[in-house]
Amino acid sequence: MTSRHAADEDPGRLLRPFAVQVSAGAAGPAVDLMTMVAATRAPDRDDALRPEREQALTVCARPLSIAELAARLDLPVSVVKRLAADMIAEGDLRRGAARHAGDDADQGILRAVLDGLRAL
Amino acid sequence: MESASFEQAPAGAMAPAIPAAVKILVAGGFGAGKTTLVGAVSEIPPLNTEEVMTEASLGVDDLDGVEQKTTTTVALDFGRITVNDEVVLYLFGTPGQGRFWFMWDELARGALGAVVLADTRRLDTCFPSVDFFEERGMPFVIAVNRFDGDCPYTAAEIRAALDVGGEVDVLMSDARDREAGKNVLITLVEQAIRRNGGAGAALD
Ligand SMILES: Nc1nc2c(ncn2[C@@H]2O[C@H](COP(=O)(O)OP(=O)(O)OP(=O)(O)O)[C@@H](O)[C@H]2O)c(=O)[nH]1
Ligand SMILES: [Mg+2]
Repeated sequence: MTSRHAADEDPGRLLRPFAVQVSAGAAGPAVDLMTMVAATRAPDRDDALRPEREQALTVCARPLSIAELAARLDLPVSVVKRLAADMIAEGDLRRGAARHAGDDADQGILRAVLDGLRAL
Repeated sequence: MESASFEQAPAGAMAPAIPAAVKILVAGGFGAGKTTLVGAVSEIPPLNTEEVMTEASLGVDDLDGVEQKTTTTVALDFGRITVNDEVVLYLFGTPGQGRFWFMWDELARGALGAVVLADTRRLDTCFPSVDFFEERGMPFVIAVNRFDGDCPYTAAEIRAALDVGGEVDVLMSDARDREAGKNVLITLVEQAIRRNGGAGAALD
């Protein structure tokens, strides 16, 4: 392996060095754009050193999707997926139940969406 | 930020249920009005985020044939409609450029269906979207964005030009109009319910 310093490479617009602390691998179950997450606690003083986690705890006071969390934190989805996976593993976020193809509940969800749209 | 909105469960109580998220894609050619439609029906101003993707280019312009890995930033814009306490609907504008197709599979996974916006000035730009959703057997509707009411074709002519099956709805619409957008989404979900009867293939 050639030893190239990171600084030698064209960093590209989105490869700015994020100070976000995330684990390298996939910790816990995979999250995707539509995984819904909610905070299990309010941020406290100890979170001030990790501002993106502090902010995630604040914006996830109400459940929201990974896509929306990424937009609100202004971080790329790929970073937020790992951040959220870590926070789920640490117990600071909880995730909504995943749905599976062919679930009876899916027809119920479609009907709920239809009723909701008609009522808008 | 009002801390009263924090939905923390009191000790011993059940935590509030997290709603299910469902997704509808808004596709169509470059500049067809995708972001406009998302904004017209969303309860929040459209949000956007970026996904950094690694793309293995085919090296067509490399004489040495070495496969190059390039990272591409894909901009996603999306809106939200809170259906009720249990369901949240997200609307994703798909990136229009052909070079972003490699990520459509991830975007499409689990979507309940798609709206294909047809721009009558450049009808051919929506052909790839139509092919994509047809191949996947995903429910979709074609919404003709009239751009100032100026549509030289009837819905039937557009249906014929796009050569889509009878299960695919074709509607005249206006990407800027909330009511028109709502109607497009309702038509799509009705179709998804019809097609979902038993198979369940449309939902992940
Ligand atoms: N007059 C008119 N303008 C429209 C209509 N729909 C969209 N536009 C305009 O057309 C332009 C393109 O619309 P967008 O919603 O950004 O299109 P898009 O499909 O998201 O474009 P890309 O994401 O770049 O592919 C914008 O300037 C819109 O304001 C319409 O129905 N009538
Ligand atoms: Mg757009």
